[in-house]
Amino acid sequence: MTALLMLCYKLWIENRTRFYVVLAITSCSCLLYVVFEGQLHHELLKRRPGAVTYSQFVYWRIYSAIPRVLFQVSCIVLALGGVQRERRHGTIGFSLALPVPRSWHELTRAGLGLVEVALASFTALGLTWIVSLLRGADLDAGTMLIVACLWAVGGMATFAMAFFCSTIVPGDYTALAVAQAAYLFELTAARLPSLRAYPLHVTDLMNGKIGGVIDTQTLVWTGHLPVGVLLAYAATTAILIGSATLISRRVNV
Amino acid sequence: MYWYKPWRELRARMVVASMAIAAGCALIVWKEEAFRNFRGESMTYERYVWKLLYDTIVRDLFVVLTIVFGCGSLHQERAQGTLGFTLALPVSRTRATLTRACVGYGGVLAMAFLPVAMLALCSPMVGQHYAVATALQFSLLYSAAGATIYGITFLLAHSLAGEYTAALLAVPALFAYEAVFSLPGLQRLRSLDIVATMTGEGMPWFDERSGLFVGPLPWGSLVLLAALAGACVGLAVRSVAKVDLNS
Repeated sequence: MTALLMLCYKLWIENRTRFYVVLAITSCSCLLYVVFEGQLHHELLKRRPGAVTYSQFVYWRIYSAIPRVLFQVSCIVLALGGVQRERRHGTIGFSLALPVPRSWHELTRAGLGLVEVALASFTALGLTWIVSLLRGADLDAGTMLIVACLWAVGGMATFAMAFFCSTIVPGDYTALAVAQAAYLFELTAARLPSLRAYPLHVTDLMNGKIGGVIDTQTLVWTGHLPVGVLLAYAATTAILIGSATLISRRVNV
Repeated sequence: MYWYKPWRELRARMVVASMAIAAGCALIVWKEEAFRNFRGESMTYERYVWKLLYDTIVRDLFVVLTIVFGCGSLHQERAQGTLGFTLALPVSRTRATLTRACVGYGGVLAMAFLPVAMLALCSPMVGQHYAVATALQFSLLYSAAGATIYGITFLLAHSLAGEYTAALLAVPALFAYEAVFSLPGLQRLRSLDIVATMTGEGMPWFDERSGLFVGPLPWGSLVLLAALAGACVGLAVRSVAKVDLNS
């Protein structure tokens, strides 16, 4: 137990600056839209005349736009690191000298990353809700909670994909390039007509377009959480992290 | 020797980036019929290529991979423990940084011009034709816009010590840069808008309905974007030349 706590502490120390930056980027990008809603809503109405309510503004400008993109890019960057990186930095000997199996390193890193992804999504959207209330805008707390869950699960799947890439690809930035490319190809492939029937598009999941979370015509939230789809995404996340852990056990460091 | 070092460091990224761009182009051309039928609107092949390749998939790939090219600097070498070897090379820090900038930008140029070859090779396979001149014009636009994105990331990587901080901050920095041009009064400076210049969206010299150029390329904008990139690289070189890397 002490060794596991020590490992968690080590990974947190290595990762915390990145996490603070992610938290700041995601939260600030959401809050900018809330604070400057007056001017930005006017601009949005020129493009989407139907987006008249505050809730619709938040949907188009926060859930489906730049803040969500920044959150997903952040999830990819949070996942980088691991055994391959430590080998390059020459610190692998110290890490492997800790009295824990090698698989614990990867599993602890993944666990910490998943917690960070969830924290980032709930903090950013929670702050959005609080500041909206302070400004006297009407934003449903239940809907915000559902979207935070969707962001967390979608973010975790994105994290797991990048985590897998960082385990199999040597080189910090090469892994980042592979993860970014894999993420964009996943989105493109999910739009192929033959695959479109399946809930594979992770940004659609985060927007609420999968599983009947939102009526795509009226943008009215149904209050329904697609538990089955979320479980499928969670299972994919677990498979990717499990595979990465198995691979890292066999890496010759 | 000092050209070979950044090449060795960047070549894996170049291979990945080239493969990703080539695969993106091939996928769009190969699945042309499926994508076009699905969209349900009748569009010419030129508009289809513009909409999916130059305005969506390859554009996004190009932007994120350009950011990845811009990452990495002497700060990161310090974290990896290889800084001493780099500084021991018989060249100034300025020269080493400029060389790295040039090699990295070479990768960006390769990405920008790869669609020309891919479209010329793949289009006949699906019974289509895409004008090389149009593809070359897009490549020039991508080269200039890519230079600016690369310059901004390069500056961030040489100003911030964190390994992934530049990669994290480059995306919001780019969005912030783009947001400036939507502010009231600044819309007339839209010729400096990186993404709009890359894709031609909303520009008077490009017709979105046909997906073709209807006027000469915006050479003034391209020169200004290249100058902005040069200024960013210059600032990065200046910051590295003065920083105490031993502390």
